Amino acid sequence: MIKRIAKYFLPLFLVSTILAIWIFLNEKENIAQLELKELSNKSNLIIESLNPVVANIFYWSQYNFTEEDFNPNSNQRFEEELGNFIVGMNHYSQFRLLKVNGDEALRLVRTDDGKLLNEKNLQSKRNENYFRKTIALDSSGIYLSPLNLNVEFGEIEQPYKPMIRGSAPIFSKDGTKLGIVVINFYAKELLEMLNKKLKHSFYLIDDKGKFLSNSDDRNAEFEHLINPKEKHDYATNFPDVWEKINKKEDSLISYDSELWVINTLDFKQEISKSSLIKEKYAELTTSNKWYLISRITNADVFAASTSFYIALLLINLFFLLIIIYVAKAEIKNEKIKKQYVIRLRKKKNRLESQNVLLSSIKNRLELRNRQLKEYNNIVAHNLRAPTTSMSALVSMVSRSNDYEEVKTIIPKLSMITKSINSLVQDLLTYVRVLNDEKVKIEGINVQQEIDKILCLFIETIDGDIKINTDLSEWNTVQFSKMYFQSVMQNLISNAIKYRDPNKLSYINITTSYDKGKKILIIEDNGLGVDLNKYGKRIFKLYERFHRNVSGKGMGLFMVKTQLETLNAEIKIESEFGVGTSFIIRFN
Amino acid sequence: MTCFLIDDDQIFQFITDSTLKRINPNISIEKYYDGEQGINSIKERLDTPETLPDIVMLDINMPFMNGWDFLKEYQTINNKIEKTIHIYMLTSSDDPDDIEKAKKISELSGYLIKPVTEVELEVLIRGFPSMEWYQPK
Repeated sequence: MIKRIAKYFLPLFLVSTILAIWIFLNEKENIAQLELKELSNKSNLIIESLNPVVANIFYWSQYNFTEEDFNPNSNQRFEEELGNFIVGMNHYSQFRLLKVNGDEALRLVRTDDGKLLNEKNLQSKRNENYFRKTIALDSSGIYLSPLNLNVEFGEIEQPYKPMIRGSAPIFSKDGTKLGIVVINFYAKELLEMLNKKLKHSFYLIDDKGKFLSNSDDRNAEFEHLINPKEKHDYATNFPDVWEKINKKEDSLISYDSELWVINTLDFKQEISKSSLIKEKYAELTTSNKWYLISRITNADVFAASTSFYIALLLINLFFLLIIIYVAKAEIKNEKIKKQYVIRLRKKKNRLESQNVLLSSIKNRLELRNRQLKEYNNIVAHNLRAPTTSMSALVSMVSRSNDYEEVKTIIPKLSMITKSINSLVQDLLTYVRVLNDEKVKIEGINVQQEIDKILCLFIETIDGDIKINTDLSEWNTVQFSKMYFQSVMQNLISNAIKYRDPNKLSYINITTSYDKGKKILIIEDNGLGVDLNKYGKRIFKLYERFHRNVSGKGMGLFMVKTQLETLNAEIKIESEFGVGTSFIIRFN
Repeated sequence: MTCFLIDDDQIFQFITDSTLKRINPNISIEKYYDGEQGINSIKERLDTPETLPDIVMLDINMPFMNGWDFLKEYQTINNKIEKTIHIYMLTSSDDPDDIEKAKKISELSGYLIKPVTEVELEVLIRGFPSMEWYQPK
């Protein structure tokens, strides 16, 4: 039964598997597209967040600063104004003015608890990259620094504060370079937003493959700043993907059964779309090129497809149940059919054996018919003659007046009665065999019976006839002893009676097999008979073909009747002047 | 008139002999008890056709050579017979097949079924020679 269920279930299973695979691939594609959109949105968010910074920097870069503003002792007027400005800008954590030599002239700081502080402890940022880059720009230049951690007094501020600095050079009315203005954009909230409600691992890396954000491993973020000696950056961790990213290949990269969704964010390119830069009011300088990366693992796809798979599983189970039911029903059906076939076969066998029985009955009926026809013929032909003769003689007697004549007729009447008696006797013999329903069948030793018969004829044989027996193939047969003796006696007697006096007579008695049936042959080299003339009459009653040999022609008739009654056959082969063979076939 | 009676029944021979003599006392009757005896007798008299019989009464069922065999043999020597011999089948067989068989043999002149009455014999003898097929009953 399991095989049957498996057979039916297999196509469903194959289809399910194909479907599962298709679902997987489809889902992967869907997720990829969704992630592309997501990353695109995140990219936009970053730009949206930084566009105001650029705009604000531009505003301040066009502000009428004086030399006094860059003197720490005389720039108090900004404290209130700038304070109001910064208050509204939650993400601005610092607003600074740096002198041409890199020293801070003004430092407005938003503390961790949200208060604004005019920091009196000013630092020198002479060696900072952003200072050097910015001081070199012209009056329309704006610089956007890379995303890095805030450094105070040469040390990375803890807790870590991720910053992007927007800066621009300040020129006086008469074109004198006064210094630079710097706004620190505190990127913590931006980064938090980028990592919010992540469905997949999210990485933000710079153009050198360093982690700016890593949802899997927060410690790896800014490692290049914190532990520059350690190398757990993206480029090291995923070199093959990194290589492909650098080759600027598709935004979807398949590697190692994982799908990487890449969004390239070129700051200069994107921010240049704002009207400020597009209309050439300002010129942006920045080296920022980021990659926003989502990592879609197979596990992610499976997780997303869970409901599909559950549905598929349920459908499969459902159909499996149906199949089990159907298989059970089929098996039951087949059992019924089998039983039906068995019954039919039994019936057929019974019919066949009945047929065989009927066939054998038919044969026996046909035989009996023939025998009764024979009987009829015997009565019709052989009884009529003497009876009509008798009436004729009686009329002659009654007609006659002469006693002498009557005296000649009387012996004739006597002859007739004798012949009627003889006929009746022969008929009785015949009928006795026909009616012998319960003939006793027993095992007969052929050699013994032959010896007994030869004893009877011993005087007649007496060296004149050679008797040869070859019973090597078989010597016993199931038959009626009485009939067997009668038949053998008749045939041997015939062989002796009809011998050729001019020859050295012999009689050969042989046993053999033909197609599994026992054959007994009695062969002589006697007078023989012309079968062309007499073939049809050889086994008939009262037929005689040889003058000078005694007998009334009853022997072979009885032989045939006795054999046929027990289902045996007899055939004759003979040639006039050569000899005769009688072939008996026992069934 | 000479008549051959070819029949193995001695009693029938006796009765028929006496009946024929009653009809025509001048009939010469010769008795043979089987076909072979009969045909041999005819063969012996081929050279003396006047000794050949005018009538032959032939039974069917006889040992050694029956009526049909006699006729077969007779047909082979028919051309040597210089006398018209009327052969009548005289038999107890009323089998229509036998009657049909007899009709087809041109050498036969009639078919009589035993027992044969004196009247039938009388018609035969007195109407002899007849060109027609004689089959009473």
